[in-house]
Amino acid sequence: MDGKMKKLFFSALVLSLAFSNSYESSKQLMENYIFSNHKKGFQTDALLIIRDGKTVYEKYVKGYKSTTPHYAWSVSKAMTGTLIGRAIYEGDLSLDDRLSDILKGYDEEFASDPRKKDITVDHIMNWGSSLNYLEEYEEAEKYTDSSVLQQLYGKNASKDMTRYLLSHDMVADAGKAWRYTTGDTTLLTSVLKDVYPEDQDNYPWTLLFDELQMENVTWERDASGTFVGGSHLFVSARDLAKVGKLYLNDGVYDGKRLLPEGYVEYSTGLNSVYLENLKNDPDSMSKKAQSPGRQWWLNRDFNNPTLPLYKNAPKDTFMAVGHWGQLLIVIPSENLIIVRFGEDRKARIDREKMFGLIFDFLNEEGL
Amino acid sequence: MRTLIKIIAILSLTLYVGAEIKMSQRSFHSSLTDIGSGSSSKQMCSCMFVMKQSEKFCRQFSKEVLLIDILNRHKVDLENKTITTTIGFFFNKRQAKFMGEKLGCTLI
Repeated sequence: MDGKMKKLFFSALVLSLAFSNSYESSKQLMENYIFSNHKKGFQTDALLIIRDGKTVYEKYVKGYKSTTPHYAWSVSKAMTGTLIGRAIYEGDLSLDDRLSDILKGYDEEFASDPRKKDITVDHIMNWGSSLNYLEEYEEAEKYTDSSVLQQLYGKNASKDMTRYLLSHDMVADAGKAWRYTTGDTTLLTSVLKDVYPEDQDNYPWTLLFDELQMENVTWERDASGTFVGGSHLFVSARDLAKVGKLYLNDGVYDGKRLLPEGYVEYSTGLNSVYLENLKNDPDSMSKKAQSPGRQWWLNRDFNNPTLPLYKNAPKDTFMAVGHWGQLLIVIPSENLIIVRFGEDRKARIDREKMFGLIFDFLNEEGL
Repeated sequence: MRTLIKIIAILSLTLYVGAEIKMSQRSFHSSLTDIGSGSSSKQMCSCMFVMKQSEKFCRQFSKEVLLIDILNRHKVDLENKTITTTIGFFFNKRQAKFMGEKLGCTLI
C-alpha cells in the first residue's frame, strides 16, 4: 500500500468510526438517560414496558431481578384504592360508609371532634379527611413535626398507626380540605382490617393478589396488624404491571370482573375535594404538579386540570407515584403500561423527557 | 477549668437525657433519634429480608434515608431475622423484625 492509499484508508476508517459513534438508536438514548444518570441524582433500578399485552422492554440493574419485590412507597396508595374497589365489588363496603361505624376501639379519638365521625370512605379516597396531617419527608425542616415520619417510624405512632392518625385535629369539616397524605390512605387499610377481621393477615391476597396471580409481593404492617396502605408495599415490576393491566381493562382481569363497573373511571377521574379547593382558593393550591385522581395521579396540570401536565404523554395517562421515583404508568389510548423503579434521592427523573424517549423508542422499533 | 468543663458536660448530658425522656412520654411525639433509629432499622430489615440485597448494600442504603441515619449502628441477627438499631444513647434502640415473605418487616 503506497502513502496515498494509506491516507485514504485511514481517512475512511476515521470517518466510518465517527459516524458509527455519533448514531445512537432511540433505545440507546432511552437507556442512556433512564439508566445512566446516577451523577445527576437519580438512578433507575428497573424499567418494564408492556405494549398491547406484550413485554417490549425489560431491564433490571443493581442486583434487582424480575422477581425482586422492590419498595413501592406511595405507589402503595393505588394498590390500597384497588383493594377498596375489590371490597365494594364483593359487597362488603360502600364509598358512603363512615369510618366511625367501622373502626373498632377508637371511640375516644372520634369523640375528640364530632366532625371526625363524618369521615367516609369516599372522603379518604379523595384524600379529603380534613385531618391536620403534615406530609413531609427527608426535606422536613424538623423531622419530629412530620406526621408521616412519626407515623412510619415514631416509637408509639408506628405501633398503632390508626390511633395516631385519628389523634390529629381536624382543619375543616370532613370532605372539605384536600391534602395528599399517607395517613388518609393508611386509614383505608385500617377500614379493611375491620371489614375482614377473620382474614386481616391475608385479605390483600384473598381479594386481589391471588386473583392477579401476583407472586412477588410483600405488604408490611404496623405492630397492631394494620397494613401500611399509604407506603409499605414491596412488589416486583411484573406483578405491579398486572395492576396496570386490570385498570387498562376497566377492572376486568383475564375475563373476570374484579372491580365494580365505573370504578376505574371513579379512581382515575379528577379528585372532587381537590377541584372544590382549587375553585374556592386557587392561590393556596398553586404548585407545579399533576392533578390528583382518587389514589392515582392524572396527566393534568394541577393548576389548570383542563390541560395536560406532560406534553409528551397522552392526556388519558394516569399513574401511581411513589417516593424516589417509583412509577406505575397506564396509558389506555396507547394500550401501554410502564413500570419504573428507582432511587431518585437528590432529584427526580424528568418525566417529560422520559415519556419522550420512551415514545421515540416505541415508534422507532415499530412497537 | 477542667471542673467547669466537667460541669458543662454533665449538665448537657442531663438536659439531653431529660429532653429525650420528656419526648418519649409525649404519647405520639417521638424524638429525632427515635425516628432515625426506627427508620434505619426498618429500611435495613426490608432491604435485607424483603428485597434480599446484601448486608453491605443495605448498610449503605439505610444510612441515606434520613440525614440522622448516618449515625446509626445496626445489630443484624440472621437467625431471628431482626435488625436492632441504635442512634445516640441506649434508649433510642429500635428493632425491626421480619415476619415472613408476605408481611415483610415490622417495627416492634
